[in-house]
Amino acid sequence: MKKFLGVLRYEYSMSIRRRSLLVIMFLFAAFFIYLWADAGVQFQQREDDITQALLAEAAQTVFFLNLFFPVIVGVSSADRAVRDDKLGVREILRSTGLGNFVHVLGKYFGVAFSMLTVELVIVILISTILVTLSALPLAFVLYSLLAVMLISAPAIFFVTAFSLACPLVMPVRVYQIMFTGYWYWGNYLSPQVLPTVSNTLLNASGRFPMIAFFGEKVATNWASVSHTEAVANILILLGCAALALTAMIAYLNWREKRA
Amino acid sequence: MIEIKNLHKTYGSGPKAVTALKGIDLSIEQGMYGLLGPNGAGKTTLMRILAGIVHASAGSVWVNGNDMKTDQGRRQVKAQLGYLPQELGLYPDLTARQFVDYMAILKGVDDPQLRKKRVQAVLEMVSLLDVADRKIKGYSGGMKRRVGIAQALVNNPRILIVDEPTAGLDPEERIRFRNLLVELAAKRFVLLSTHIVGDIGQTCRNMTVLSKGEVRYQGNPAELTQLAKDHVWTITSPDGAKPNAGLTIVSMQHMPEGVNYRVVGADVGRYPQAVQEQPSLEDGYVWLMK
Repeated sequence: MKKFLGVLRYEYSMSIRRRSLLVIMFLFAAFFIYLWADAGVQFQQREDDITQALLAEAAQTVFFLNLFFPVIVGVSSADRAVRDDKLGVREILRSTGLGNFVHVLGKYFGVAFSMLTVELVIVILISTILVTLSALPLAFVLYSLLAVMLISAPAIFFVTAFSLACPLVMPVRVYQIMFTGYWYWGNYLSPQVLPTVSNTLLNASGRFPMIAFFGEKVATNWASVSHTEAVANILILLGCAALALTAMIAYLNWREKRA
Repeated sequence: MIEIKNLHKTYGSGPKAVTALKGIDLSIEQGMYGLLGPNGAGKTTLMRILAGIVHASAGSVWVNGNDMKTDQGRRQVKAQLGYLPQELGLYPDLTARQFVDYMAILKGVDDPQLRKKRVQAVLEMVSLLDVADRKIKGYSGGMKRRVGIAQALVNNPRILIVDEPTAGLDPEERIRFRNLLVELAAKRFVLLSTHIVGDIGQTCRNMTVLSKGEVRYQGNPAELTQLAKDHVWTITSPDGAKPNAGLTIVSMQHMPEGVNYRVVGADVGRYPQAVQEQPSLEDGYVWLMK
Protein backbone atom coordinates (compact mmCIF):
# COMPACT_ATOMS: atom_id res chain seq x y z
CA MET A 1 0.00 0.00 0.00
CA LYS A 2 2.87 2.36 0.84
CA LYS A 3 4.49 1.70 -2.52
CA PHE A 4 1.18 2.36 -4.25
CA LEU A 5 0.76 5.66 -2.40
CA GLY A 6 4.38 6.57 -3.19
CA VAL A 7 3.90 5.99 -6.92
CA LEU A 8 0.57 7.84 -6.85
CA ARG A 9 2.10 10.82 -5.04
CA TYR A 10 5.08 11.19 -7.34
CA GLU A 11 3.16 10.51 -10.57
CA TYR A 12 0.56 13.08 -9.48
CA SER A 13 3.25 15.60 -8.73
CA MET A 14 5.12 15.00 -12.02
CA SER A 15 1.91 15.16 -14.03
CA ILE A 16 0.36 18.27 -12.51
CA ARG A 17 3.52 20.36 -12.55
CA ARG A 18 3.74 20.35 -16.33
CA ARG A 19 3.73 23.95 -17.45
CA SER A 20 1.67 23.16 -20.55
CA LEU A 21 -1.11 21.76 -18.39
CA LEU A 22 -1.21 24.85 -16.20
CA VAL A 23 -1.29 27.14 -19.24
CA ILE A 24 -4.17 25.12 -20.69
CA MET A 25 -5.96 25.30 -17.37
CA PHE A 26 -5.93 29.09 -17.31
CA LEU A 27 -6.73 29.43 -21.02
CA PHE A 28 -9.76 27.19 -20.54
CA ALA A 29 -10.92 29.10 -17.52
CA ALA A 30 -10.59 32.43 -19.34
CA PHE A 31 -12.39 31.12 -22.43
CA PHE A 32 -15.35 29.72 -20.50
CA ILE A 33 -15.68 32.73 -18.26
CA TYR A 34 -15.85 34.86 -21.38
CA LEU A 35 -18.52 32.57 -22.90
CA TRP A 36 -20.65 32.28 -19.80
CA ALA A 37 -20.47 35.81 -18.49
CA ASP A 38 -23.59 36.80 -20.47
CA ALA A 39 -25.37 33.46 -20.06
CA GLY A 40 -25.48 33.85 -16.29
CA VAL A 41 -27.50 37.05 -16.53
CA GLN A 42 -29.95 35.50 -19.03
CA PHE A 43 -30.36 32.50 -16.78
CA GLN A 44 -31.68 34.59 -13.91
CA GLN A 45 -34.31 36.11 -16.12
CA ARG A 46 -35.61 32.84 -17.57
CA GLU A 47 -35.90 30.41 -14.63
CA ASP A 48 -38.32 30.11 -11.74
CA ASP A 49 -37.08 26.93 -10.05
CA ILE A 50 -33.76 28.25 -8.88
CA THR A 51 -32.22 24.96 -7.70
CA GLN A 52 -33.12 23.12 -10.89
CA ALA A 53 -31.92 26.02 -12.93
CA LEU A 54 -28.60 26.16 -11.09
CA LEU A 55 -28.11 22.40 -11.47
CA ALA A 56 -28.88 22.59 -15.17
CA GLU A 57 -26.53 25.52 -15.65
CA ALA A 58 -23.74 23.78 -13.74
CA ALA A 59 -24.25 20.57 -15.75
CA GLN A 60 -24.19 22.48 -19.00
CA THR A 61 -20.98 24.27 -18.05
CA VAL A 62 -19.24 21.00 -17.25
CA PHE A 63 -20.73 19.27 -20.30
CA PHE A 64 -19.31 21.92 -22.60
CA LEU A 65 -15.99 21.73 -20.81
CA ASN A 66 -16.10 17.99 -21.48
CA LEU A 67 -16.24 18.73 -25.17
CA PHE A 68 -12.54 19.63 -25.10
CA PHE A 69 -11.02 18.76 -21.75
CA PRO A 70 -10.86 14.94 -22.12
CA VAL A 71 -8.99 15.47 -25.40
CA ILE A 72 -6.37 17.38 -23.44
CA VAL A 73 -6.38 14.61 -20.82
CA GLY A 74 -5.91 11.96 -23.51
CA VAL A 75 -3.20 13.80 -25.39
CA SER A 76 -1.23 14.90 -22.34
CA SER A 77 -1.35 11.58 -20.48
CA ALA A 78 -0.28 9.58 -23.53
CA ASP A 79 3.41 9.93 -22.68
CA ARG A 80 3.13 9.03 -18.98
CA ALA A 81 3.70 5.28 -19.27
CA VAL A 82 5.98 5.16 -22.30
CA ARG A 83 8.29 7.75 -20.83
CA ASP A 84 9.48 5.21 -18.25
CA ASP A 85 10.98 3.32 -21.19
CA LYS A 86 12.11 6.41 -23.06
CA LEU A 87 13.87 7.87 -20.02
CA GLY A 88 15.28 4.46 -19.08
CA VAL A 89 13.77 4.60 -15.59
CA ARG A 90 11.99 1.27 -15.83
CA GLU A 91 15.19 -0.68 -15.14
CA ILE A 92 15.76 1.06 -11.80
CA LEU A 93 12.06 0.76 -10.93
CA ARG A 94 12.18 -2.98 -11.60
CA SER A 95 15.26 -3.40 -9.46
CA THR A 96 13.28 -2.07 -6.48
CA GLY A 97 10.84 -4.97 -6.62
CA LEU A 98 7.97 -2.71 -7.64
CA GLY A 99 5.38 -4.95 -9.32
CA ASN A 100 3.54 -3.90 -12.45
CA PHE A 101 0.16 -4.08 -10.71
CA VAL A 102 1.11 -1.52 -8.06
CA HIS A 103 3.09 0.61 -10.50
CA VAL A 104 0.33 0.81 -13.10
CA LEU A 105 -2.40 1.51 -10.55
CA GLY A 106 -0.30 4.14 -8.77
CA LYS A 107 0.55 5.82 -12.05
CA TYR A 108 -3.07 5.65 -13.22
CA PHE A 109 -4.56 7.24 -10.15
CA GLY A 110 -1.73 9.78 -9.93
CA VAL A 111 -2.27 10.95 -13.51
CA ALA A 112 -6.09 10.78 -13.33
CA PHE A 113 -6.21 12.74 -10.06
CA SER A 114 -3.88 15.37 -11.50
CA MET A 115 -6.22 15.84 -14.47
CA LEU A 116 -9.23 15.92 -12.18
CA THR A 117 -7.50 18.55 -10.05
CA VAL A 118 -6.92 20.71 -13.12
CA GLU A 119 -10.57 20.41 -14.11
CA LEU A 120 -11.77 21.14 -10.58
CA VAL A 121 -9.64 24.28 -10.48
CA ILE A 122 -11.02 25.40 -13.86
CA VAL A 123 -14.59 24.78 -12.74
CA ILE A 124 -14.10 26.48 -9.38
CA LEU A 125 -12.61 29.49 -11.17
CA ILE A 126 -15.43 29.64 -13.72
CA SER A 127 -18.23 29.13 -11.24
CA THR A 128 -16.82 31.53 -8.67
CA ILE A 129 -16.47 34.27 -11.24
CA LEU A 130 -19.98 33.58 -12.56
CA VAL A 131 -21.34 33.72 -9.04
CA THR A 132 -19.64 37.06 -8.55
CA LEU A 133 -20.55 38.55 -11.93
CA SER A 134 -24.15 37.32 -12.13
CA ALA A 135 -25.00 37.42 -8.44
CA LEU A 136 -25.81 33.68 -8.46
CA PRO A 137 -26.19 31.77 -5.19
CA LEU A 138 -22.98 30.26 -3.86
CA ALA A 139 -24.56 26.83 -4.25
CA PHE A 140 -23.75 27.12 -7.95
CA VAL A 141 -20.09 26.39 -7.12
CA LEU A 142 -21.07 23.22 -5.25
CA TYR A 143 -23.41 22.10 -8.04
CA SER A 144 -20.60 22.63 -10.52
CA LEU A 145 -18.30 20.40 -8.48
CA LEU A 146 -21.05 17.79 -8.31
CA ALA A 147 -21.39 18.02 -12.08
CA VAL A 148 -17.64 17.45 -12.48
CA MET A 149 -17.84 14.29 -10.38
CA LEU A 150 -20.85 12.85 -12.23
CA ILE A 151 -20.36 14.14 -15.77
CA SER A 152 -16.66 14.61 -16.26
CA ALA A 153 -14.79 12.39 -13.79
CA PRO A 154 -15.92 9.08 -15.39
CA ALA A 155 -14.64 10.37 -18.73
CA ILE A 156 -11.30 11.36 -17.19
CA PHE A 157 -10.85 7.91 -15.59
CA PHE A 158 -11.90 6.24 -18.85
CA VAL A 159 -9.59 8.31 -21.05
CA THR A 160 -6.58 8.17 -18.73
CA ALA A 161 -6.58 4.36 -18.67
CA PHE A 162 -6.49 4.08 -22.45
CA SER A 163 -3.95 6.87 -22.76
CA LEU A 164 -1.56 5.03 -20.48
CA ALA A 165 -2.09 1.62 -22.07
CA CYS A 166 -2.38 2.21 -25.83
CA PRO A 167 0.88 4.12 -26.44
CA LEU A 168 2.78 1.08 -25.13
CA VAL A 169 1.87 -0.70 -28.35
CA MET A 170 1.69 2.20 -30.82
CA PRO A 171 3.53 5.49 -31.38
CA VAL A 172 2.37 8.26 -29.04
CA ARG A 173 1.62 10.68 -31.91
CA VAL A 174 -0.51 8.10 -33.72
CA TYR A 175 -2.44 7.43 -30.52
CA GLN A 176 -3.00 11.14 -29.89
CA ILE A 177 -4.41 11.68 -33.38
CA MET A 178 -6.55 8.53 -33.26
CA PHE A 179 -7.84 9.38 -29.79
CA THR A 180 -8.84 12.92 -30.79
CA GLY A 181 -10.73 11.51 -33.78
CA TYR A 182 -12.38 8.89 -31.59
CA TRP A 183 -13.49 11.46 -29.01
CA TYR A 184 -15.61 13.44 -31.45
CA TRP A 185 -16.70 10.46 -33.55
CA GLY A 186 -17.61 8.25 -30.58
CA ASN A 187 -19.33 10.88 -28.46
CA TYR A 188 -20.73 13.74 -30.47
CA LEU A 189 -21.40 12.51 -33.99
CA SER A 190 -24.99 11.53 -34.78
CA PRO A 191 -25.48 7.90 -35.96
CA GLN A 192 -27.50 9.36 -38.82
CA VAL A 193 -24.36 10.99 -40.19
CA LEU A 194 -21.93 8.09 -39.65
CA PRO A 195 -22.11 4.79 -37.72
CA THR A 196 -20.94 5.60 -34.18
CA VAL A 197 -21.29 4.50 -30.56
CA SER A 198 -22.42 7.97 -29.45
CA ASN A 199 -25.98 6.86 -28.69
CA THR A 200 -24.87 3.77 -26.73
CA LEU A 201 -23.86 3.40 -23.08
CA LEU A 202 -20.25 3.75 -24.25
CA ASN A 203 -20.79 7.48 -24.70
CA ALA A 204 -18.22 9.25 -22.51
CA SER A 205 -19.27 12.85 -23.13
CA GLY A 206 -21.27 12.99 -19.91
CA ARG A 207 -24.56 13.28 -21.79
CA PHE A 208 -26.25 10.39 -19.95
CA PRO A 209 -25.56 11.60 -16.39
CA MET A 210 -26.30 15.19 -17.41
CA ILE A 211 -29.78 14.27 -18.64
CA ALA A 212 -30.53 11.79 -15.83
CA PHE A 213 -29.14 13.59 -12.80
CA PHE A 214 -29.36 17.24 -13.81
CA GLY A 215 -32.37 17.23 -16.13
CA GLU A 216 -30.54 19.19 -18.74
CA LYS A 217 -30.77 18.51 -22.49
CA VAL A 218 -28.50 20.58 -24.63
CA ALA A 219 -30.21 19.33 -27.81
CA THR A 220 -33.98 18.96 -27.96
CA ASN A 221 -33.83 15.70 -29.96
CA TRP A 222 -31.95 13.84 -27.20
CA ALA A 223 -33.89 10.98 -25.67
CA SER A 224 -34.62 10.89 -21.94
CA VAL A 225 -32.24 8.86 -19.79
CA SER A 226 -33.15 6.99 -16.61
CA HIS A 227 -30.99 7.05 -13.49
CA THR A 228 -30.23 3.36 -14.04
CA GLU A 229 -28.99 4.03 -17.55
CA ALA A 230 -26.79 6.86 -16.34
CA VAL A 231 -25.30 4.69 -13.59
CA ALA A 232 -24.78 1.88 -16.10
CA ASN A 233 -23.06 4.35 -18.43
CA ILE A 234 -20.65 5.42 -15.65
CA LEU A 235 -19.99 1.81 -14.60
CA ILE A 236 -19.34 0.73 -18.18
CA LEU A 237 -16.81 3.54 -18.65
CA LEU A 238 -15.04 2.59 -15.41
CA GLY A 239 -15.21 -1.09 -16.41
CA CYS A 240 -13.58 -0.30 -19.75
CA ALA A 241 -10.88 1.62 -17.89
CA ALA A 242 -10.30 -1.41 -15.64
CA LEU A 243 -10.04 -3.66 -18.70
CA ALA A 244 -7.48 -1.35 -20.33
CA LEU A 245 -5.38 -1.31 -17.15
CA THR A 246 -5.62 -5.11 -16.79
CA ALA A 247 -4.42 -5.50 -20.37
CA MET A 248 -1.61 -3.04 -19.69
CA ILE A 249 -0.43 -4.96 -16.61
CA ALA A 250 -0.62 -8.26 -18.51
CA TYR A 251 1.37 -6.76 -21.38
CA LEU A 252 4.10 -5.41 -19.07
CA ASN A 253 4.31 -8.76 -17.25
CA TRP A 254 4.59 -10.59 -20.56
CA ARG A 255 7.29 -8.19 -21.74
CA GLU A 256 9.28 -8.70 -18.56
CA LYS A 257 9.05 -12.48 -18.81
CA ARG A 258 10.49 -12.27 -22.31
CA ALA A 259 13.43 -10.10 -21.19
CA MET B 1 27.28 -16.18 -1.30
CA ILE B 2 26.40 -15.84 -4.97
CA GLU B 3 26.52 -19.13 -6.89
CA ILE B 4 26.20 -19.16 -10.66
CA LYS B 5 26.19 -22.47 -12.50
CA ASN B 6 26.18 -23.06 -16.24
CA LEU B 7 24.38 -19.78 -16.85
CA HIS B 8 23.15 -19.15 -20.37
CA LYS B 9 21.30 -16.18 -21.73
CA THR B 10 20.02 -15.84 -25.28
CA TYR B 11 18.06 -12.84 -26.52
CA GLY B 12 15.49 -13.50 -29.22
CA SER B 13 15.03 -16.73 -31.09
CA GLY B 14 15.67 -18.30 -34.47
CA PRO B 15 18.34 -16.98 -36.79
CA LYS B 16 18.31 -13.56 -35.13
CA ALA B 17 19.04 -14.98 -31.66
CA VAL B 18 21.97 -13.41 -29.83
CA THR B 19 23.75 -15.39 -27.15
CA ALA B 20 24.99 -13.07 -24.42
CA LEU B 21 26.19 -15.65 -21.86
CA LYS B 22 27.48 -19.13 -22.64
CA GLY B 23 27.71 -21.39 -19.62
CA ILE B 24 29.05 -19.07 -16.92
CA ASP B 25 30.20 -20.65 -13.64
CA LEU B 26 31.03 -18.24 -10.84
CA SER B 27 31.21 -18.26 -7.10
CA ILE B 28 31.23 -14.86 -5.42
CA GLU B 29 31.80 -14.30 -1.73
CA GLN B 30 31.09 -11.25 0.41
CA GLY B 31 33.31 -8.27 -0.36
CA MET B 32 34.19 -6.39 -3.46
CA TYR B 33 34.12 -8.33 -6.73
CA GLY B 34 35.07 -6.98 -10.13
CA LEU B 35 33.75 -7.80 -13.57
CA LEU B 36 35.92 -6.75 -16.45
CA GLY B 37 35.54 -7.25 -20.16
CA PRO B 38 35.15 -5.54 -23.51
CA ASN B 39 31.85 -4.18 -24.83
CA GLY B 40 29.45 -7.00 -25.60
CA ALA B 41 31.20 -9.41 -23.23
CA GLY B 42 27.98 -10.04 -21.29
CA LYS B 43 28.81 -8.07 -18.14
CA THR B 44 25.62 -6.02 -18.16
CA THR B 45 23.50 -9.08 -18.90
CA LEU B 46 25.06 -10.89 -15.95
CA MET B 47 24.46 -7.87 -13.69
CA ARG B 48 20.84 -7.64 -14.81
CA ILE B 49 20.26 -11.32 -14.13
CA LEU B 50 21.74 -10.92 -10.66
CA ALA B 51 19.49 -7.89 -10.08
CA GLY B 52 16.45 -9.95 -11.07
CA ILE B 53 15.64 -7.75 -14.05
CA VAL B 54 16.44 -10.27 -16.77
CA HIS B 55 15.61 -13.97 -16.70
CA ALA B 56 18.30 -16.56 -17.41
CA SER B 57 17.70 -18.85 -20.39
CA ALA B 58 19.34 -21.82 -18.65
CA GLY B 59 21.47 -22.60 -15.63
CA SER B 60 21.04 -21.56 -12.02
CA VAL B 61 21.72 -18.43 -10.00
CA TRP B 62 21.49 -18.40 -6.21
CA VAL B 63 21.95 -15.14 -4.32
CA ASN B 64 22.19 -15.40 -0.55
CA GLY B 65 20.26 -18.66 -0.68
CA ASN B 66 17.56 -17.26 -2.99
CA ASP B 67 16.86 -18.98 -6.28
CA MET B 68 16.69 -16.28 -8.96
CA LYS B 69 14.54 -18.53 -11.13
CA THR B 70 11.59 -18.04 -8.81
CA ASP B 71 9.49 -14.91 -8.28
CA GLN B 72 9.89 -15.36 -4.53
CA GLY B 73 13.69 -15.55 -4.85
CA ARG B 74 13.88 -12.46 -7.02
CA ARG B 75 11.62 -10.56 -4.61
CA GLN B 76 13.85 -11.50 -1.67
CA VAL B 77 16.97 -10.36 -3.50
CA LYS B 78 15.41 -7.10 -4.67
CA ALA B 79 14.46 -6.32 -1.08
CA GLN B 80 18.16 -6.20 -0.15
CA LEU B 81 19.51 -4.80 -3.41
CA GLY B 82 21.07 -1.54 -4.48
CA TYR B 83 21.43 -1.32 -8.24
CA LEU B 84 23.06 1.23 -10.47
CA PRO B 85 22.51 0.36 -14.14
CA GLN B 86 24.88 1.32 -16.90
CA GLU B 87 22.14 3.16 -18.80
CA LEU B 88 20.88 5.27 -15.95
CA GLY B 89 17.43 6.79 -16.37
CA LEU B 90 16.05 9.47 -14.06
CA TYR B 91 12.91 11.60 -14.03
CA PRO B 92 14.14 15.03 -15.17
CA ASP B 93 11.18 16.83 -13.60
CA LEU B 94 12.02 15.68 -10.07
CA THR B 95 14.74 17.08 -7.85
CA ALA B 96 17.52 14.76 -6.68
CA ARG B 97 15.97 14.72 -3.20
CA GLN B 98 12.55 13.79 -4.58
CA PHE B 99 13.95 11.09 -6.85
CA VAL B 100 15.98 9.45 -4.10
CA ASP B 101 13.01 9.72 -1.73
CA TYR B 102 10.79 8.07 -4.35
CA MET B 103 13.27 5.21 -4.74
CA ALA B 104 13.48 4.86 -0.96
CA ILE B 105 9.68 4.45 -0.77
CA LEU B 106 9.78 1.82 -3.51
CA LYS B 107 12.58 0.00 -1.70
CA GLY B 108 10.48 -0.23 1.43
CA VAL B 109 12.01 2.50 3.59
CA ASP B 110 8.56 3.22 5.03
CA ASP B 111 9.24 5.32 8.11
CA PRO B 112 9.17 8.97 6.91
CA GLN B 113 11.68 10.17 9.51
CA LEU B 114 14.14 7.38 8.75
CA ARG B 115 13.64 7.93 5.04
CA LYS B 116 14.34 11.63 5.35
CA LYS B 117 17.56 10.88 7.24
CA ARG B 118 18.68 8.23 4.76
CA VAL B 119 17.99 10.51 1.78
CA GLN B 120 19.93 13.31 3.45
CA ALA B 121 22.82 10.97 4.29
CA VAL B 122 23.22 9.49 0.80
CA LEU B 123 22.94 12.88 -0.88
CA GLU B 124 25.70 14.08 1.40
CA MET B 125 27.73 10.96 0.62
CA VAL B 126 27.66 11.79 -3.09
CA SER B 127 28.18 15.54 -2.52
CA LEU B 128 24.82 16.61 -3.91
CA LEU B 129 23.36 18.29 -0.84
CA ASP B 130 23.92 21.81 -2.19
CA VAL B 131 21.91 21.12 -5.34
CA ALA B 132 19.54 18.49 -3.96
CA ASP B 133 16.48 20.68 -4.47
CA ARG B 134 17.22 21.54 -8.07
CA LYS B 135 15.49 19.64 -10.86
CA ILE B 136 17.54 16.80 -12.34
CA LYS B 137 17.08 18.15 -15.87
CA GLY B 138 19.60 20.87 -15.01
CA TYR B 139 22.27 18.41 -13.84
CA SER B 140 25.48 17.48 -15.65
CA GLY B 141 26.18 13.85 -16.59
CA GLY B 142 28.41 13.36 -13.55
CA MET B 143 25.77 14.80 -11.20
CA LYS B 144 23.14 12.46 -12.65
CA ARG B 145 25.51 9.55 -12.08
CA ARG B 146 25.80 10.64 -8.44
CA VAL B 147 22.01 10.67 -8.12
CA GLY B 148 22.12 7.10 -9.43
CA ILE B 149 24.67 6.15 -6.81
CA ALA B 150 22.60 7.81 -4.08
CA GLN B 151 19.44 5.90 -5.03
CA ALA B 152 21.40 2.64 -5.06
CA LEU B 153 22.57 3.24 -1.49
CA VAL B 154 19.42 4.72 0.03
CA ASN B 155 18.05 1.44 1.42
CA ASN B 156 21.39 0.45 2.94
CA PRO B 157 21.52 -2.62 0.68
CA ARG B 158 23.22 -5.92 1.53
CA ILE B 159 23.93 -6.52 -2.14
CA LEU B 160 25.20 -3.67 -4.26
CA ILE B 161 25.44 -4.10 -8.03
CA VAL B 162 27.05 -1.20 -9.83
CA ASP B 163 27.54 -1.10 -13.59
CA GLU B 164 30.09 1.46 -14.73
CA PRO B 165 29.56 3.57 -11.62
CA THR B 166 32.40 6.00 -12.18
CA ALA B 167 31.58 6.88 -15.80
CA GLY B 168 31.29 10.66 -16.05
CA LEU B 169 32.64 11.38 -12.58
CA ASP B 170 35.56 13.76 -12.16
CA PRO B 171 38.81 12.22 -10.82
CA GLU B 172 38.21 13.37 -7.24
CA GLU B 173 34.68 12.01 -7.18
CA ARG B 174 35.85 8.79 -8.78
CA ILE B 175 38.37 8.21 -6.01
CA ARG B 176 35.81 9.13 -3.36
CA PHE B 177 33.26 6.73 -4.76
CA ARG B 178 35.81 3.94 -5.18
CA ASN B 179 36.76 4.31 -1.52
CA LEU B 180 33.10 4.38 -0.54
CA LEU B 181 32.51 1.10 -2.37
CA VAL B 182 35.43 -0.51 -0.55
CA GLU B 183 34.05 0.68 2.81
CA LEU B 184 30.62 -0.69 1.96
CA ALA B 185 32.11 -4.01 0.84
CA ALA B 186 33.29 -4.75 4.38
CA LYS B 187 29.82 -6.08 5.23
CA ARG B 188 28.22 -6.54 1.84
CA PHE B 189 28.41 -8.05 -1.60
CA VAL B 190 29.57 -5.36 -3.97
CA LEU B 191 29.71 -6.27 -7.64
CA LEU B 192 31.51 -3.75 -9.76
CA SER B 193 31.42 -3.91 -13.53
CA THR B 194 33.64 -1.51 -15.40
CA HIS B 195 35.83 -0.84 -18.38
CA ILE B 196 38.28 0.99 -16.15
CA VAL B 197 40.89 -1.59 -15.25
CA GLY B 198 42.39 0.65 -12.59
CA ASP B 199 39.13 0.77 -10.64
CA ILE B 200 39.15 -3.02 -10.31
CA GLY B 201 42.84 -3.20 -9.44
CA GLN B 202 42.49 -0.72 -6.63
CA THR B 203 39.33 -2.05 -5.08
CA CYS B 204 38.61 -5.72 -5.77
CA ARG B 205 39.97 -8.77 -3.98
CA ASN B 206 38.63 -11.05 -6.68
CA MET B 207 37.55 -10.59 -10.23
CA THR B 208 36.34 -12.19 -13.41
CA VAL B 209 37.11 -11.30 -16.98
CA LEU B 210 34.31 -12.00 -19.42
CA SER B 211 34.70 -12.13 -23.16
CA LYS B 212 32.06 -13.02 -25.73
CA GLY B 213 29.82 -14.40 -23.02
CA GLU B 214 32.42 -16.71 -21.50
CA VAL B 215 34.67 -16.54 -18.45
CA ARG B 216 38.23 -15.87 -19.62
CA TYR B 217 39.73 -15.40 -16.19
CA GLN B 218 38.70 -15.84 -12.59
CA GLY B 219 41.01 -15.00 -9.70
CA ASN B 220 42.60 -12.02 -8.07
CA PRO B 221 43.95 -8.91 -9.82
CA ALA B 222 47.57 -9.67 -8.77
CA GLU B 223 47.50 -13.02 -10.54
CA LEU B 224 46.02 -11.46 -13.66
CA THR B 225 48.82 -8.90 -13.59
CA GLN B 226 51.40 -11.68 -13.38
CA LEU B 227 50.03 -13.33 -16.51
CA ALA B 228 51.79 -10.60 -18.48
CA LYS B 229 55.13 -11.09 -16.76
CA ASP B 230 57.98 -11.12 -19.35
CA HIS B 231 55.58 -9.89 -22.03
CA VAL B 232 55.60 -6.12 -21.44
CA TRP B 233 58.12 -3.91 -23.17
CA THR B 234 58.95 -0.35 -24.01
CA ILE B 235 60.10 0.24 -27.55
CA THR B 236 61.46 3.62 -28.57
CA SER B 237 60.94 4.42 -32.21
CA PRO B 238 63.06 7.39 -33.40
CA ASP B 239 60.97 7.86 -36.56
CA GLY B 240 57.68 7.19 -34.77
CA ALA B 241 56.94 4.00 -36.73
CA LYS B 242 54.51 1.82 -34.83
CA PRO B 243 55.69 -1.58 -33.66
CA ASN B 244 53.79 -4.48 -35.19
CA ALA B 245 54.53 -8.18 -35.44
CA GLY B 246 51.68 -9.16 -33.13
CA LEU B 247 52.44 -6.57 -30.47
CA THR B 248 49.60 -4.66 -28.79
CA ILE B 249 50.35 -1.03 -28.07
CA VAL B 250 49.11 -0.23 -24.57
CA SER B 251 50.30 3.38 -24.51
CA MET B 252 52.48 5.80 -26.41
CA GLN B 253 54.37 8.93 -25.45
CA HIS B 254 56.13 11.50 -27.63
CA MET B 255 59.66 12.12 -26.31
CA PRO B 256 62.59 14.16 -27.69
CA GLU B 257 64.35 10.94 -28.78
CA GLY B 258 61.27 9.57 -30.59
CA VAL B 259 58.04 7.86 -29.62
CA ASN B 260 57.97 5.52 -26.62
CA TYR B 261 55.58 2.63 -27.12
CA ARG B 262 54.56 0.39 -24.25
CA VAL B 263 53.66 -2.92 -25.85
CA VAL B 264 52.39 -6.31 -24.78
CA GLY B 265 53.39 -9.32 -26.82
CA ALA B 266 55.23 -12.60 -26.93
CA ASP B 267 58.05 -11.78 -29.27
CA VAL B 268 60.02 -8.52 -29.55
CA GLY B 269 62.93 -10.09 -31.42
CA ARG B 270 62.59 -7.59 -34.25
CA TYR B 271 63.13 -4.74 -31.80
CA PRO B 272 66.55 -5.07 -30.16
CA GLN B 273 66.03 -1.73 -28.38
CA ALA B 274 63.02 -3.15 -26.50
CA VAL B 275 63.27 -2.80 -22.71
CA GLN B 276 61.37 -5.17 -20.48
CA GLU B 277 58.87 -3.57 -18.03
CA GLN B 278 56.98 -4.63 -14.92
CA PRO B 279 53.44 -5.55 -15.89
CA SER B 280 50.40 -3.66 -14.66
CA LEU B 281 46.87 -5.04 -14.32
CA GLU B 282 46.01 -3.41 -17.62
CA ASP B 283 48.92 -5.24 -19.27
CA GLY B 284 47.70 -8.50 -17.76
CA TYR B 285 44.23 -7.84 -19.14
CA VAL B 286 45.57 -7.01 -22.59
CA TRP B 287 47.74 -10.14 -22.58
CA LEU B 288 44.77 -12.26 -21.54
CA MET B 289 42.56 -10.86 -24.28
CA LYS B 290 45.15 -11.25 -27.05
